[in-house]
Amino acid sequence: MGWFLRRVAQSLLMLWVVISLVFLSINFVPGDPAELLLAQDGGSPDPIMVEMLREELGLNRPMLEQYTRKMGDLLQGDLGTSIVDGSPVGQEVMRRLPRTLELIGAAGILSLLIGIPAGVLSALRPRSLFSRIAALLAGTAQSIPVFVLGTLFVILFATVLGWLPAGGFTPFGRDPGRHMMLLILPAATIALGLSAIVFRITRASMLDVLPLDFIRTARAKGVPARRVIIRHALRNALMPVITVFALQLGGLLAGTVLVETVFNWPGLSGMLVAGVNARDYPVVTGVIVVVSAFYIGLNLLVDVIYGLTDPRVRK
Amino acid sequence: MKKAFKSPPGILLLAILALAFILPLFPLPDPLAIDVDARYAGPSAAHLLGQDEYGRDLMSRLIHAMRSAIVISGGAALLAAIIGVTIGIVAGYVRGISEALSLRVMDVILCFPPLLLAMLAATLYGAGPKTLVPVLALVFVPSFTRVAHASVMTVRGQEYVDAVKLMGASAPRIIFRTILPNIAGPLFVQFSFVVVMSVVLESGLSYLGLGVLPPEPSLGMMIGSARATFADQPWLLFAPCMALVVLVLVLNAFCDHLRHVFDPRNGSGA
Amino acid sequence: MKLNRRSLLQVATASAALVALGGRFAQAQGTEVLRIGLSTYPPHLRPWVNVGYSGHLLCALINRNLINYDEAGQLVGDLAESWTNDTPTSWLFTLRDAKFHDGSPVTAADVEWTLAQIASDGSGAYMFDALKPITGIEVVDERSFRIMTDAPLATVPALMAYPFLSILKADSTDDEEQGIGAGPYLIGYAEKGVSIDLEPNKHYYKEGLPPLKGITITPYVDESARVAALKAGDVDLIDYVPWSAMAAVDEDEALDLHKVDAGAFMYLSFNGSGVFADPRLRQAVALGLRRDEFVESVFFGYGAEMTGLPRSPSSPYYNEALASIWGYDPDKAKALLKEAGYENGLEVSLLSTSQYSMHRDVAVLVQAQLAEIGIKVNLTMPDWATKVNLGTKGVGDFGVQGIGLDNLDPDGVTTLIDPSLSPTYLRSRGFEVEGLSELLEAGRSELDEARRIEIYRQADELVAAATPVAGICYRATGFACRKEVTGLTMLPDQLSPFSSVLFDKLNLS
Repeated sequence: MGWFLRRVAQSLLMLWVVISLVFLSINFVPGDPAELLLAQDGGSPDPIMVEMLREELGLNRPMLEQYTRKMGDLLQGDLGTSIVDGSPVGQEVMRRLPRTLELIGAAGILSLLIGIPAGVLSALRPRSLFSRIAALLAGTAQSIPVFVLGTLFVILFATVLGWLPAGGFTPFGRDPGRHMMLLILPAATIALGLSAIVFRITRASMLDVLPLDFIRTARAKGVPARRVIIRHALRNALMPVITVFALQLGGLLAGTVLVETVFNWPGLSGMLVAGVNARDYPVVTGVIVVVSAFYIGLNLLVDVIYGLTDPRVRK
Repeated sequence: MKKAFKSPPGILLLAILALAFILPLFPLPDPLAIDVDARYAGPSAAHLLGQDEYGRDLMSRLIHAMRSAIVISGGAALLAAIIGVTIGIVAGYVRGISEALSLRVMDVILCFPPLLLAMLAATLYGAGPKTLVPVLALVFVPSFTRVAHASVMTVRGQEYVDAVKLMGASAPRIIFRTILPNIAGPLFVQFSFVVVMSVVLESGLSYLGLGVLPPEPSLGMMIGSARATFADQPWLLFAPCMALVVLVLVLNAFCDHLRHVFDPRNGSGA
Repeated sequence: MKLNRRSLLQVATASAALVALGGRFAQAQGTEVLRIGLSTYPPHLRPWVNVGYSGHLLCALINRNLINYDEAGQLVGDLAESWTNDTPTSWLFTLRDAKFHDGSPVTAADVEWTLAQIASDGSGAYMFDALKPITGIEVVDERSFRIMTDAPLATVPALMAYPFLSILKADSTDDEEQGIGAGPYLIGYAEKGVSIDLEPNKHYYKEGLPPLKGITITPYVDESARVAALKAGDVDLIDYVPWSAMAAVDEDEALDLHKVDAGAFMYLSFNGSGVFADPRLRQAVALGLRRDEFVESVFFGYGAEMTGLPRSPSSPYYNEALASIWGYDPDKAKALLKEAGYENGLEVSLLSTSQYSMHRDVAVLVQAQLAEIGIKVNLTMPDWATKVNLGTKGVGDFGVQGIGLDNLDPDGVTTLIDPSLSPTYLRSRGFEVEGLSELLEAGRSELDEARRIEIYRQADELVAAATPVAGICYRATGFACRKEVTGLTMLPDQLSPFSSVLFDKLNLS
């Protein structure tokens, strides 16, 4: 229990450091949100007006005061309001987070559906033609940067073939069919690289498990091959797959910038990029707080699970 | 080491390196020379792969772009390796407060998704190769620290280290002469892995306009600009796409090969 | 109810209005919803603040000005029916019988309130600065008011036609950020970053308009995605057609390209704290550029060379002799460099941004072309936000700028060409053009057109001699739509990015 509490405290401390770092660094980045707000499409704002807006937005307060206020707000669960449009950041994050999670989730499921069966089959016959082709494809899939793949997908499926829309987003509640159509390409783009990773780990981990004694025992006992593979081998081989997969998904939470850009998907990354571009400090800190909290939480979860299963970790 | 290059991926990698570093020594067309009258010109004797939207030689631009991708990524990986390994080894060897502190710092860096961290840093310090190398290095320092630290932890308890210690060797000597050579394998694999990641990250940043600065060519930027004219000039899009994919593919294959060579079990991995 | 002349009249107008309303109702019940693919989701819905061209598109669909431009670039009454310069320092406006979205009439009090909001400290309004010469508003009656100025001000009607000068219902911004306007449409549903649904304004003052059942606006930030969405039929109309795609859109049987070549423009601003204090060097730069290559390569041929100040040939202030002051003359440029003592080469830094390809590519081309006359250009190209910041601080010897005009009055270019104004990132600074400020001031307070023309001719001559900025090229403004879209017309020349003030006629057949 003490170990668990210490680990949680450590996570919270880390979150605080991350937030402080982001707050500091974003304030040192050149660029003035007040000026940018008034300078849309080459507008030329009067310096006096910029100054007045800065005053109004509280950007002229001493840094320490801004920092303590921010921290106070965060402790109360308030992510602040956007400089650009004055809307609550928390609300916007909560609107966009599900979209990003949906995108990652769809990509994740797709990659598991491709990666695990391919990995298992390939581990069962490591020297077969299928295995070689699969390895080659996985290597290629992993080597195509997402923005290249996304671009090619748009050209092929939207422009040339016209099967799918080129990008955008429709809320599920408004038009479920279109919503799903719009989800396919970005999800597939992320899924391809991810499935290659899943494939490789599944394969490697199956290769590790298959020669083990209990599999041989099960086989010797006359358990059908299918059952051996799925119930015994795969179940044991899945742990590393899940671990790596979970961490990959965590990394994707704000790592879908390029896919969201190419496909015009209004997720969390887009919000972050827009925030950075407009120097909308509350938006940037808000998104990063949520993303890193997610990430730190995920790490904590993995640690706790390991801790529960392996007492040695708990020292 | 030699063994690592005597393989299909190794030979391919050498071929790409030769292409990127030796070819520019020959009198290729200037990749920056603009010739607006000859924009979108097809292949000719002077311009083997044709010319882009400003009449610049496509082949020269591809080669220079690949070279800068390799130099930047290699440089970033090297810098990250030096810093990361030093921290990792010191942390693993000295233990105590320095270990806790340095590992926590690395955890903080890891909290940021790589592209996000690079974007923040690129906007903070401005784009361009001079900032790209340290920025990418910053992103990958933790991975080296972790590998080095973990390796030291496994090595430090082993008998030969204790033996050298008993013989009165100084700490730096133990680290450099005894520990480092013994953990070189995993570090080398990690290094090649980071080079690949850097190439991908750099191209992504350049695609977003935060990486290599124009007029210097970069694959990401070439892809970004060619998207708009794809309908009329598909080749201008496919060429840099192919160059980038082939570069990453070969680096990846080499990476796997290294892992295979250095992996004591020699069984897992594709 | 005691019958007298007045109440009878009221009844009569009310029933006439009812009939008109009923008639319009039948007409306004369009069945089609137009889908627009917009280049950005408006950064916010606050009124009067500059939200860029695409933000203006929404603004012009939901709001109306007192005055607007028509297709020919002439000022025409919008919410204002007429205006006269009744004393040298005041303008009398009469409002037409227009109504806000909620059916309440547009009154002089609403105009007074609107202008007071814009003038209030920290409003951030686009017109904050430009409206400073206005000293007060005098409400005459419900439908008429006077705009008072200290000194004679010829530009008052033009000011009222500025973008983002929407007349809103008094106090309406308390409830909804965007307030209540009098435009052809109103916001029915908006999900930030995803879409905006517009519904027709039943009370719109123009007979029979708007003809659509509604408009759906979806942002497509990526230009290729925007074009692809149009081609695929996901949207009916897109703004900001990328120049690279204009040819393809033009050739496409199913699509219409609406464009104006001399739209917004790219130019160079100079910083006089360095070598460019010397007008000869500024001129050498202006003479060292082959402008056709910029049009051809950066804008794919969709634009025009910018060889003089942006004065529309249709305007009385256009002057043939001063229309091409910035030609390509490398010999003269080299001679000027030599004269200024830089015959062995000059090294300068150019501030641009790598975030937007047109700014990036213009900078690259400037660098290549100036190298030919012996000027070595070092590029500084951070992201846009940093560029704005550095530009304001005065970093760089010269800078790549892109802007459109917000009005066609000859005074419209003042903020660009007068380096003595307060420094902003897109203005030249650090040097004086003797006599220019005084001339421009005189031009603003001159009410007689013939004399104004003469004043601006003199000002343009000063510009030609001193080169406070160097024009590069115009970029075409393009809207693209599917063939079924009708009623799309555009404002002329530099105003064309604000064409959406004419979009109340948009229809689908």
